[in-house]
Amino acid sequence: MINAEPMEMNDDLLISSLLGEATIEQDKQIEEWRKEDPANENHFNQFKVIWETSDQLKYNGKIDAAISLQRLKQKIAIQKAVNLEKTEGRADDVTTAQNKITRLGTVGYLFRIAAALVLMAGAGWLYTNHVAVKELEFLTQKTAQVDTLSDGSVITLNKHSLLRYPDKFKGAERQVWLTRGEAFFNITPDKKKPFLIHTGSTTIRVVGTSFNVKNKGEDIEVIVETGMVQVSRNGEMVSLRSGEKVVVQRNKTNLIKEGNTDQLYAYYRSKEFVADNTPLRRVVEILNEAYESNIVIGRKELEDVPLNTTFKNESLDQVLKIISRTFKIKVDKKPNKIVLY
Amino acid sequence: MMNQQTLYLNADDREFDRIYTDHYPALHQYAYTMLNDRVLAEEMVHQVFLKILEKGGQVNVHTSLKAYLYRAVHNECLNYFKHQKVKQVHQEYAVAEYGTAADSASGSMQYKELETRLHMAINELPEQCRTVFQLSRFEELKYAEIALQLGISIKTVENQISKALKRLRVQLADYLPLFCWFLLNILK
Repeated sequence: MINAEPMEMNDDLLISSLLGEATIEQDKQIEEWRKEDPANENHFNQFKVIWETSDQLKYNGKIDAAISLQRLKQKIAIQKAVNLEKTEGRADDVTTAQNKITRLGTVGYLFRIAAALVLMAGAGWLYTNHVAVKELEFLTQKTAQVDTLSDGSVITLNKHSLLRYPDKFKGAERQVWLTRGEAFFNITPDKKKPFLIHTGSTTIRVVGTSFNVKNKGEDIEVIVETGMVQVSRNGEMVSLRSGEKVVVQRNKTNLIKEGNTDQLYAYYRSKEFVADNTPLRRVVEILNEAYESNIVIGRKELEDVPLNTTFKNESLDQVLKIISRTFKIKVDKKPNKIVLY
Repeated sequence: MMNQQTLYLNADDREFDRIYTDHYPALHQYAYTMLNDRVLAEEMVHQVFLKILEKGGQVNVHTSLKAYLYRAVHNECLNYFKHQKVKQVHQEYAVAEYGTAADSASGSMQYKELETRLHMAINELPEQCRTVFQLSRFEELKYAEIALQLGISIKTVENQISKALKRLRVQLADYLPLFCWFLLNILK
C-alpha cells in the first residue's frame, strides 16, 4: 500500500497494534506509516512510553492468598464480636432507661454472655437452615467457656479465642480449626474417626485423649494430659505422650518435644493456679495472662525462685500478698505496672 | 454474557475461601497499582470483603463477580484517597521518589517524575476504563479474555483501552516528547 498521499491513521489502531491485538496486515500498515515521517514515529512512541512505563507500577513481590485469607478471617471474627457488643450495649441502654434497676453483677454479666451466645447460636441456626452451612464458631471474649461438640468431645476455650467446627462430623475424620487463642480438648475416643485440630500451619492428630493447645500467633504450644497426640507441620511430625509438650516455632523447622514442667496452663479450666516448684517468672507470666495485668520482676535473682502453692478463686491482690509474704518481697503498684522487688 | 445474578457470600463456607483465594492476587495487584503500598493494598481488599459480609453477604452481580470485586476495590481505594487528602499523599510520594533518585542522572530523575504523573493519571481514569487497563497491563490478558472475565464485549474492551491510553497521552503531553526515543532504549 504505497501511496503519494499521507496515510490515514488513527490512535485506536496504533493502540491495538501496540498491545498485540492488530492483524498482521494492520501491523504492516502501521510500520510503514511510522517510517513515513519522524513525527509519526514520535506519536507512536508516546503511546509506547506510556505503556512501558506503566509496567513499573506493578507489584512484583510474593503474594500469599492463603495467609491473607487467614488475616481476613481474624478481622471477620473481630467484626462479629464488635457487632455482638453493640447489641449488648443497646440492651444496656434499655436497662438504664427502665431506671432504678441496680447494675447487674457478675451473674448479670454471665447472663449477658449467655444471651450473646444464644444470639450467636441462633444466628448460626438460621445460617445452617437457610444457606446449608455446616461450619459453626465458638468464640469467647472476656471469659473462658466450655462447649461440647456433636461427638461428645468437651472443649474448654480460654478467653479471646476462636474455634471453628462443623455441626456434625462427616467423612473419615473429625476436624476443627483453632483460629485464635487457647483451648483444652477432651476428645471422645473413636478409633475409626481420628480427631484433627488445625491451628496456624500446625495439625494435631488424636484418637482419644486430653490436651491443651495454645496459639500464640508466632508459636503454637501443645501439652498432653492423657493419651497420645501427633503434632505435624509441613510434613514434620512428633508424637507426644502424657506429660509431654512441644512448642512449634514459626522460624524453626524442627519439632522437638520436651517434658512439661508445670500445671499452670490448666488455670482457665480448673480455675486454680497450681505452682509446684514453679519458677516465679513462669507464675508471673500466667498471672499476667489470666488477670490481664502487667507484673514485672524487679530483681533478677527473684526470677528463678521456686513457688509451691495453689491459688484458688483469689483476687490478684490476694495472690500478690501471698507471694510477697512467701518470699518476703515488696509489691510496688504503679499506675500501669506492678513491680515485685 | 450479561447475566444478572445474586450471590451470597458466607465466611463460614468453603466456597468463600475459594472465591477469596482465587481473586486475591489480582485484587491486591489492583489496589497496589493504585496505592503503591503492599500492606495498604491488602487492607483495601479486606475492607471490600468485610463490607460485603457486614451487609449479610449479598452480592448483586450484573456482569461478573470479578467485575464487581474490581469496582469495589477501585471505590475502596478512592475512598481511602479522599480520607487521606489525595494531593498530600501524591506530593509525599513524589518527594520520596525524588529522594531515592537524587544522586542519579537528571534524565532518570525526570523519568521518575513521569512515572509519578503517570501513576496519578492512571488512578484518575474512570472505573471501567481503569479496570480494563488493569487487566490488560498488569494481568497481561488479551482483549477476548478481558471481555469474558468482565462480561462485556470485545469491542467495549477495545474502546476502553483506547480511551485510557489516549487520555493518558493527553494528560502527560508535557512530559512525553522529552522521553520518547531516549527512554525506549533504556526500557528495552
